Amino acid sequence: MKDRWSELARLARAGRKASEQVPEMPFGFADSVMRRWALAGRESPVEAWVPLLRPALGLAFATAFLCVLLQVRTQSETPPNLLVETENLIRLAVLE
Amino acid sequence: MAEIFDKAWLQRVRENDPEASQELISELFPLVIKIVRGHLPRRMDPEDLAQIVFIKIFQKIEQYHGDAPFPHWVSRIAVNTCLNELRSEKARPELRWADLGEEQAQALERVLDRSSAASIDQDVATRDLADRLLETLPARDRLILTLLDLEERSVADVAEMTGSPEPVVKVRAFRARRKLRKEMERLERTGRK
Repeated sequence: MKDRWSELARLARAGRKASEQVPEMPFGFADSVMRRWALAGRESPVEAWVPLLRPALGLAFATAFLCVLLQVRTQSETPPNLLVETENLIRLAVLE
Repeated sequence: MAEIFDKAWLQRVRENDPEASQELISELFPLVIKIVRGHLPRRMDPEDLAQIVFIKIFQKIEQYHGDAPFPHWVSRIAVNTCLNELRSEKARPELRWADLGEEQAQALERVLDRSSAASIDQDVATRDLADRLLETLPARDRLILTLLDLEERSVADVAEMTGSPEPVVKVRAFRARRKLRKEMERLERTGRK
């Protein structure tokens, strides 16, 4: 099978070399980058908080989970509510 | 170039020293613009993309720990920035003979007839044709094949620049070449007069 892509790539490499010039930095390029960099830094203040926010979010989830767990355990261990029982007894007495 | 990138100088850049930052830009501009020009998406200005690369370098410079030479690290950022930009443009599903300019069509004729290019202009047209064929590939395959076949970089270099393991680079290149060969055969079959 004729490898035409390799042949094309070989010729294209010659084309690249022919059109390749020594790149020169345009005037004002560095200043423009510095301006954009300063602007990008100011535009995203949230990014500075990301390293702190990630563990904080994890901690918040862990705390919420622990609270729910403790709540469930506390509910299952609570002795019968005396007030409710007394109310039920009174109702039964009144009905009789 | 490499000797100026010492630890003290990098520290000055990290501390936002304007002089050191300007120096970084002017020293690395030839390297960055060369990579950007080699992997430029359609309708994007190379200088604009180079600026994006430099901003990323400044954003990530805290993550540079000196494991690789600084220019290699910069090359990797430049390549990945280009890859992200290439991903945002759709790959052309297929190239038709009618899509080619006159010079590109002649360049394809030359390749199909196995005649060698005669002038610099014809070589440039051949390069443009190669770029147009590469545009039919997905962004990562296009990047890998450009680095391997047009810039003649080694598989190890490409693996380092793209962050892909060497076997992955080889497999992707193999498949991409096969696709391009089929594309050229299809062009010859359907479009040649």
